[in-house]
Amino acid sequence: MADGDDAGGSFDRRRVLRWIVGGSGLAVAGLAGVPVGSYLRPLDLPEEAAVAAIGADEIGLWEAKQVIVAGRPVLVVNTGDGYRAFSAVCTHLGCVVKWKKGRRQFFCPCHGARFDVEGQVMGGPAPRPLAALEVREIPGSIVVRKV
Amino acid sequence: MTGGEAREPRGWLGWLERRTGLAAGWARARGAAVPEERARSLPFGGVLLFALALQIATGLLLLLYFVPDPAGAFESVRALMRDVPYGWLVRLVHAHGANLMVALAFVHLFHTAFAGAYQAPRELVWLSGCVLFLLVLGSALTGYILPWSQMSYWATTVVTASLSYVPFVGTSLVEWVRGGEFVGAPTFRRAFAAHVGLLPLAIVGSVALHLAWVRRAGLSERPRRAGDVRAAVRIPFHPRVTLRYATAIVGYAFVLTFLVFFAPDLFFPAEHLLPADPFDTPPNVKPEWYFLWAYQLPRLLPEALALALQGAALALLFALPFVDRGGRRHPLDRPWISAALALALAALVGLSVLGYLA
Repeated sequence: MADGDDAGGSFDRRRVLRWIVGGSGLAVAGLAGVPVGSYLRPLDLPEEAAVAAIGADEIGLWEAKQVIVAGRPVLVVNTGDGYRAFSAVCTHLGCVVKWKKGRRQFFCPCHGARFDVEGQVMGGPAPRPLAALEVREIPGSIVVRKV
Repeated sequence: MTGGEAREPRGWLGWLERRTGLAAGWARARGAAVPEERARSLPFGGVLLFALALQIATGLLLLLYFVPDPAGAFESVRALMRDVPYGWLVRLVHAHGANLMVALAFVHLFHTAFAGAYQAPRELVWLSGCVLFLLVLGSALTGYILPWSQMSYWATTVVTASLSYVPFVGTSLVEWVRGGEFVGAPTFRRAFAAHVGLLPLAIVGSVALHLAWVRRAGLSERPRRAGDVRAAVRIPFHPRVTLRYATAIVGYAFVLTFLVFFAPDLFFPAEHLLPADPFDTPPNVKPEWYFLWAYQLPRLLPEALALALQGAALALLFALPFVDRGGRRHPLDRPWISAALALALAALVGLSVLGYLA
């Protein structure tokens, strides 16, 4: 059945037109996807202060204090042999760990992950140690810095 | 005769009818022949439609007072409960209604699966139903975030973080869903946009398709044993089946009202009464009851395996009409499928109970 002036072959006019219209539609949809995808992409927010300072007398022996570094919670522990600072964000699913003074462990309230005073995994589902931060002691103060 | 020919209305109603055909359409719909047992079975789909309408109506009312910003959301919900006349009623009907709707969606899904009502020619009805089921779960999840309470915040943190175990794209997926590295204002805004815009539109569109395909294929008959060749008795939809729908809807409204007035705290743990604090995870963070199975599974298996199992179960759910094509619908005539469904249901309930007790 004739389908146009030059019907019969695989490159008849209607088929080519259909490909052009369909291809153009896909191209437009693809082009529209670029701004939509970019719009939905998370924004790069300005960095918050990556340093926090606390008084040396604020943390008793084997006690911990929470400070905010770069907008995230950090726990600083006084071990008597110096201070340790770790991100308080559990490496399992992102809950905030707490310091258990009696056990000298970090404990996650969500799924029970436990970390020792060096941030190493002692038990539970956490796949990695807690991220360590740099600690510097200057007279009267402890400065914690995100590495 | 209950269906019958529609008489042409007169006056302005006649004018409207000639242009819309509504009365004729209603006459056709109420006269449609359906299996007689529909006047005795539980119409889960019809009740779900009513539940959806109620969610949309109460959701619109909540929008009048809800402040869609993390800084003001919690306080606006508190003020709504305390200061707005009947604000507590609107919110509790919406929140409890969401829980009941999810429960009904689970029941509807398993009831349809056990009855084999997904088989030809109802494959598309089943697929659109599965999509609707996921959309309802998504709607419940995004709605849970909006009060921006401690439980909202930390349940969202845990649920979104579990996506990081998706191979290759996990980390990017988490950031994309959250709108940033951590749960925060961008996450809240995404949840709000999804909950009041994208998901309701998708649900209403999917319901329209679901109903159109139900109408095209007809309401399914009760599954019969192989060899039972008795012809199904068919009756007009109205009045016996409509009465059945109306009774079921009244029953649903009764249960909802009972929960609102006699168990207002049923779905609100204490952590829901505290505003979100990104620096303090409360003990006992758990998702809502309908995600407890997904919460419990990674506690028993490695995350990646748990995620793979969930993906496989979901794929099987969608593939059901293309796997079970034997034409036999009675559960006893397809024992493997029935056993698999029973196992899935037992796993779902068992994991949820374990998650609740954990």
